[in-house]
Amino acid sequence: MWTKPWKYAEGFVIGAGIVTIGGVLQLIFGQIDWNAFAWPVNAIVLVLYLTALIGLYIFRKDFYPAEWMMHFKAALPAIAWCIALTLVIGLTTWNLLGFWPFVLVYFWMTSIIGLACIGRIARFRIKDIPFLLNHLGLFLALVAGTLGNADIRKHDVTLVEGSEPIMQGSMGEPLPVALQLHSFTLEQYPPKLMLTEGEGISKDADAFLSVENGTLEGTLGGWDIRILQNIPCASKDSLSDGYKAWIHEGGCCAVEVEAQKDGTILTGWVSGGSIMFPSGKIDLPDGRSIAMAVREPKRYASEISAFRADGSRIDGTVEVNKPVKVNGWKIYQVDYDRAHGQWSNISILQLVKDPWLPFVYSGIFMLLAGAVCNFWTAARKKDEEEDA
Amino acid sequence: MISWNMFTWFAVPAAILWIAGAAAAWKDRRKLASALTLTGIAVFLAFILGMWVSLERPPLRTMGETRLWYAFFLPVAGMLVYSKWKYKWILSFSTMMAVMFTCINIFKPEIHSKALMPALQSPWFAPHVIVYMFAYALLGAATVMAVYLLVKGSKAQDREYEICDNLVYVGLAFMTFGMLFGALWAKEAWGHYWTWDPKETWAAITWLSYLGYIHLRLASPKEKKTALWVLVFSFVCLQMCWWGVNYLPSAQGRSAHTYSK
Repeated sequence: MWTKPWKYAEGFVIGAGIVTIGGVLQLIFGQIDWNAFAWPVNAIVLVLYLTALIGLYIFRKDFYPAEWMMHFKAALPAIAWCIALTLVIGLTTWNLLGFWPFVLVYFWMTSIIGLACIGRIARFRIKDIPFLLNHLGLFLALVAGTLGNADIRKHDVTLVEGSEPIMQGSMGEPLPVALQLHSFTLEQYPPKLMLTEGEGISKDADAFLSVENGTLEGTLGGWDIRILQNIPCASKDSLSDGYKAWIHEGGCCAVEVEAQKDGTILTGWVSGGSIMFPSGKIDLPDGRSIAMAVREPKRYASEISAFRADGSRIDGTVEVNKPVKVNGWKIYQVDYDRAHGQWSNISILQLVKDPWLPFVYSGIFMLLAGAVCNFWTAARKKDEEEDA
Repeated sequence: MISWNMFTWFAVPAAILWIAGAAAAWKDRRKLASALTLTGIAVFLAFILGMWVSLERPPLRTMGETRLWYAFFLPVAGMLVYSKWKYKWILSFSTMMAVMFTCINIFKPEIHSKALMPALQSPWFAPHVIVYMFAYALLGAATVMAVYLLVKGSKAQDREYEICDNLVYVGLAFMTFGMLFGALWAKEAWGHYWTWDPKETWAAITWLSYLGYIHLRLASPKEKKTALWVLVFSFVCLQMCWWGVNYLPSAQGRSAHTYSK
């Protein structure tokens, strides 16, 4: 070992050294505080880092480790150490994002990628483009993602339907724009009957029956089911022990069901209940029950207005997967009042701003372009073989 | 309307066609082998598309549904390799694996629920999962090839190692697409492109592991056996990423990726 040229063994030992140093730093300083990298510290660190990498490249002949870092044989142990430490996150519930050894092995791998990129750029040839897309893309995404993390701003905000514009987030902090909720809408999937056994759901293949409009019959665990009534918004009728139509806030969905098996016929009400009314189920003689599954949301959205400091206003609909953009911020639909379900008049939104995102995305798009090149490389290799 | 109840009616004819195709390949009846396999693929695809229409969403949500795509892409990957390198046995392997996944779907379906939660209602959903499933199929084929070469030992030829390499190159390219589409989608759905969610963590491990294989092959072409073991290890990680995380104690209740109950 340590005779030039270095091979894998040196790389693995260096990796072990880095993990050890990381362990010592962990004992001395504790978790890495990524907030310390907030602007402008991250920009300064970035400039210093790039300068250091370029310096290493220029003086690589005088400093053998730098020359070695540009070789495949340095890349492999670095990848292996990254896998090893990422496996720890994968197999445990530890949060290693501020854990020195984890961060340092990724830093080491990123530096190797960076040096390799500088080497290729310094003596650029057209055929290096796929290499650069793959490697520079990953370098950019990793560096911008990590250093930019401290500059991400997030605000959670809870809005109530119809109230005045809100200017503060959930922690009392001022918001970049004032927000007002005009209406919150929740659409649900059709109610589903389910067969329960003890605390759980029956193992039968037909343990669920979706009560869609027009669905009048089906089976649940061998029981023939007939839907007698389907009331989307009902109240519990204390006299008859059934449910009746009641179109007011707090109403629940209720279904009157007839279950039949081997000559036994049972009828009763099944309901998921609501914040106002109890749920209802039918107990079967075989020890199982027919109950209503928790209604699944199909779509929920908030009609909002955002008011800028200059008085201008933007209206929009915030929906899951469809954030609304205002002033460089994205507003996301996060949640609503689950206990009130379809009667929720509360919408929970999140505002996010990530100034480094364009750099991360540039890296991601380079990686995507690099992946396209890799098809091409594989195809070309095949063709060369056939020509040979 | 196509439903899961009719799966057997499509799966069994498709499986018979694939098995017949694999048998024809052994007998060097290349055109017949390709025709039979492709017909089987078409039959299977008809079921997937029928489900797509009747579910009113792409069938990609439950484990049973993703297995459907995997069973579809395996013969596709097998066909690609077969048409390029004329390996007699590759169709047998792809057929065997596809039939296995089909049988799991017949006997242990995990296919319930028509509902698609709001987080999954996105144009990214179909490309993210389909591209991943295709990557998994190619990398599955690469793993089979690796095991075959490990058994064959020193008698294996360089050309055969290159099949492994090419399968990994193309498979990893698809996996990169799947992962990065996932990142772009996550930004739209959850507000951040990468959160070290258990599924993401395992996706990173798997991706790095395949990168390790590629770098090892380039750096030390003579370390063949090690490279093959890296491929096997990578595939184990891939299984963790695909379905293992659902059973991993450390991932319970922490993954935003659990959609199938």
